[in-house]
Amino acid sequence: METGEVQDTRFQEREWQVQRVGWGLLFLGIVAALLGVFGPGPLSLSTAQSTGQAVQAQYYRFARLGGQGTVTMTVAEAGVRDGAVDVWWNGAYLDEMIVNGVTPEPDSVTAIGGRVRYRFAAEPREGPLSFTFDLTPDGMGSKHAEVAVGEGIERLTYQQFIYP
Amino acid sequence: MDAVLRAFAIYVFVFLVFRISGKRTLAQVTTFDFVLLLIIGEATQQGLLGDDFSVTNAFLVVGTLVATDIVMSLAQQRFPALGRFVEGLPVVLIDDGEPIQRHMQRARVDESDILERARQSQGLERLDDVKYAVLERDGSISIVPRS
Repeated sequence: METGEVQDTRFQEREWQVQRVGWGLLFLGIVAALLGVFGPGPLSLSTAQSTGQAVQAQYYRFARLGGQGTVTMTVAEAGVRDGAVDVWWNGAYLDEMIVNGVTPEPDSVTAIGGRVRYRFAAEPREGPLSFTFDLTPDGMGSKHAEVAVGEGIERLTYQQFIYP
Repeated sequence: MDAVLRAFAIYVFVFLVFRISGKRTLAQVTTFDFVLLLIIGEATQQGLLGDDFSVTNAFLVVGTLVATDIVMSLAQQRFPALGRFVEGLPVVLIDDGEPIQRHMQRARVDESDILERARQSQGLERLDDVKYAVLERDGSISIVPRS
């Protein structure tokens, strides 16, 4: 049968081959997504600790632009000074985030130098304190966060990658 | 992770809902059936994307939906019995000129639907000209004329 341009077996075999490879990549991508490579998930949930172990930050190593970027700070009782806890963020990081809310509500939010200070009222009783920053990433690529509690006695840093 | 799970859950739910709604809904027989499908598309958008409007999220959701579809079709190829569960079977509505009332009733197809299809596909004029009418798996009616 003369088929001309209608059927070319070699091309068709090639196409099916490419299709199979494409499927493989697709399934690989989905497995990666389930593990958290492209956003919130078991592989992306990480913890960073300060050198003195008094502050711990739970964050998403991989996040998406406009998606979930909640960071939870846990401060040991020793971090409380004069009934308050100061959590300092580097301004460069917060510039790239939209701060949806902070739980508990801070008493004051002050910009000092290149940093932002969140001051919370706190009482050193019954264990470590937890502060949740509900952030939405507003910039793409690698982000570097520097968090300090008190006058910089306890510092921690962490890296994030924000997908477009 | 959440994007993949959301997309998969919505795929399964929409599939089940349409499976139990019967074949005619999918065939968009009336204008309203068509509108219904449009509205369902809109209603699932929030559930699929949430408030994450990133391109990566869109890729993950679309990728998951397509991948699930591919897995379904591969599974049906491998397990033919699954095909029956997923797609159903064709239903004979007119057998050798005789309308099967029970089938027509259950499938919610009446004579005017069959006549319309007979006119459109075969140019037939009367129900007597129809030898077989079958409600196919996709909701369309196929006509075999009496020669």
